Amino acid sequence: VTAALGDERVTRPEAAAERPLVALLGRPNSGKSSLFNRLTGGSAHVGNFPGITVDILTADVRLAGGTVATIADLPGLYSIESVVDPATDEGVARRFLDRTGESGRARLIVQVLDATQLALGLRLTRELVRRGLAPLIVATQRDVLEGEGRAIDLGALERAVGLPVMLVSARDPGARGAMLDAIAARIGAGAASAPGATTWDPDAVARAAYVEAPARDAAAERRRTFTARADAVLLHPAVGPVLFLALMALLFAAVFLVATPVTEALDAAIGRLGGLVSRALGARLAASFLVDGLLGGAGTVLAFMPQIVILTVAMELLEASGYLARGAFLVDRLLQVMGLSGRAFLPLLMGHACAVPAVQATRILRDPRERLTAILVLPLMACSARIPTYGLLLTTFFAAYGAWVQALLFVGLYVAGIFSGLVASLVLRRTATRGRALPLVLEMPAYRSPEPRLVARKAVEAAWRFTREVGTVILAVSAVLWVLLKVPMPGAATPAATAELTSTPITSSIAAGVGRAIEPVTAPLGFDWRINVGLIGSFGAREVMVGTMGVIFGVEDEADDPAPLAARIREARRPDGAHAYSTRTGLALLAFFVLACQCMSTVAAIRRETKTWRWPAFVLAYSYAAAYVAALVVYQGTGLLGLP
Amino acid sequence: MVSNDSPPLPLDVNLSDPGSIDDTSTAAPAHGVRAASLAGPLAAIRHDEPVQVVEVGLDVELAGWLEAMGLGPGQTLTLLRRAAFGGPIHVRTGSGGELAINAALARSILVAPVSPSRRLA
Repeated sequence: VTAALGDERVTRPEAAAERPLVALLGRPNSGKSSLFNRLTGGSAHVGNFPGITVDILTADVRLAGGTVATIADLPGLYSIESVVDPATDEGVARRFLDRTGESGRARLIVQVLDATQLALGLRLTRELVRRGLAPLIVATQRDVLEGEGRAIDLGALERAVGLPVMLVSARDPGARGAMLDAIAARIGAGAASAPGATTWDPDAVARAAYVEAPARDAAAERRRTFTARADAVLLHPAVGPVLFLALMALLFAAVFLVATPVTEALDAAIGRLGGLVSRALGARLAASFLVDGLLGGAGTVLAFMPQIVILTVAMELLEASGYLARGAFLVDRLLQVMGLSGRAFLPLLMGHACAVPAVQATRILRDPRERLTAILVLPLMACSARIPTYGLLLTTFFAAYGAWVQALLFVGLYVAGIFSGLVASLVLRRTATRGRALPLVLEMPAYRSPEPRLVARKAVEAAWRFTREVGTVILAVSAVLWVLLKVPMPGAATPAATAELTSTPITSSIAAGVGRAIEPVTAPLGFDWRINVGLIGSFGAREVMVGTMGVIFGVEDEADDPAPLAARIREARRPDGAHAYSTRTGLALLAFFVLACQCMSTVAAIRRETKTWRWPAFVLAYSYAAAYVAALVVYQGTGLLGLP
Repeated sequence: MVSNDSPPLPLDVNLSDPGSIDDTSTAAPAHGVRAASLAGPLAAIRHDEPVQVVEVGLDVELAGWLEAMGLGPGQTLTLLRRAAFGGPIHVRTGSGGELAINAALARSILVAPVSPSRRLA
């Protein structure tokens, strides 16, 4: 296959698809990504492979002799023979092997295996040889192996499997040169030079290959049992869950304490920029579009950035350290109640800060149905964007009941989010995501210290992907909403508009027209056209509700102190002079905001993760339907109970 | 053999092959297993006794995937701990890995004590 490649020099960019492909393949937790990072020096980008819809990192490296090869980091996989769902990471890796095999492009498989667990990795080696893939074997974690006082007889291992084998540590800077040389030699010689043997037992070969170093001292023994001792504490029946809760609380606090000020600073900067544009262009419609439409949308995108980065870093740290599997172990039983497994805890927890990175974090769920279920219920979790609206509603309708009632209601709103997620999950597991679920079988990797560079790279990637794929949708929706709120309804200037208490243009906007048109539908919920306009405005981002209500009721700076706006809303009158809203309206609105997926960013993130518009449309439909029904039941039910 | 009181997994894995669990009594004992009569579900494993997987009473696809993960017939397992309230069990495998296994799944995996002779070897 590779006979002609040894001296081929590829420099033209359009010939990228002709470059020999080096696919790094191995079990999850084998240390593959660390080696990839060592090989490529962190200069990776997302590769483009026909038929592969999941991001696969690639990087071009120059081998000895000038050949440029593309190195691809495949998702982890356990087997190429067992049946897997195509939507999982394993399925993607398998499809990658099939597709690149069919393309006829020269390729070399490099199997990365954990030197401390040879038997497990060699099982996959034998499958690769059976398929005729004859990999170059790179055993990693050399440092850990030596720390345990063990070594590998490479010669014996090579003879047993009939393939070239090397032993490296990803932390060793010299590993790069050694691996590139071995890759070049393997590409030059061709797979036929050592096709590999198929008739050997992985367990027996692994046992024979290990050499116990003579000086296996007490220090080495202690290091070997570090994971066991750490687990004795971290998985302790009583201490383990407490530490777990503390860690999650810390993660949560980090999001609020670090992300909030950064977001506010970005917000202020955007506001100043908007002010400059307004002054430069005057009060024209174009200026308003630039400031309120586009800059506002960009502000929303930026507002998510600190959370995305913090949560990605946290997730990578948990994953790379090995604690993620421990957390899943601790909460698996609890999440079974929802029809999910222990792996889902991190996305669900992150959902309470922001559903957007949480939707992305569901990638750690191996089972595609479980993953889809988690994605579909995430928008129900009480995310931080709900807080301003909750605050306004509690101040407006429940200030008279005292601080305790407000505080209880606030906690109740979080519980309501979790409870509605539980109900939705139970329903979905019996309908839309019905079918077999993979029960939790989770590797518990040894604890390791995460590599900062790898974590930083993931965070940058996540931020960039969010900007590119979600940011564009937010901008588009922001522009459309601007048209709805700022452009007059064609043929408007209705008598009703002039009779209203404000004369702001919003009363004659398209949104106001729509809001009045749907009043018959929302009247049973206690919502009049003004609330409807607020709901239309918050379709793209729920926190916009506060600002839109501020515009409708002519209150500026509503973000700093909701009290004046709350008073205006409380005093709002119907055309006949009666109070427009009551406590029941407040309760119905709260029920609506608990359930409705008023977040285009989440919708766009779901679109990105599911690769279809079907599921985001489903989320919008079911959450709005549930929100309407819940608000209706709350408003009418409390009316029957005699609440004013 | 797997006792009747072990509830099936909350999934339809056994529906396609209802005979798979009952067949275990006639299955040939894996190497090192003393007698099939001593076999029981992995969920009932004791702390001080290493066991060996005799059979994974699940459909072929899931069993194949578990074997690839290192949880196939012949694998030796040692219990490290159980999670609270009927949560997963944490085992060390003879291949040098550690696995967390869902409790319902552990009820579908048949294991038998490793014979003393093999344990010494």
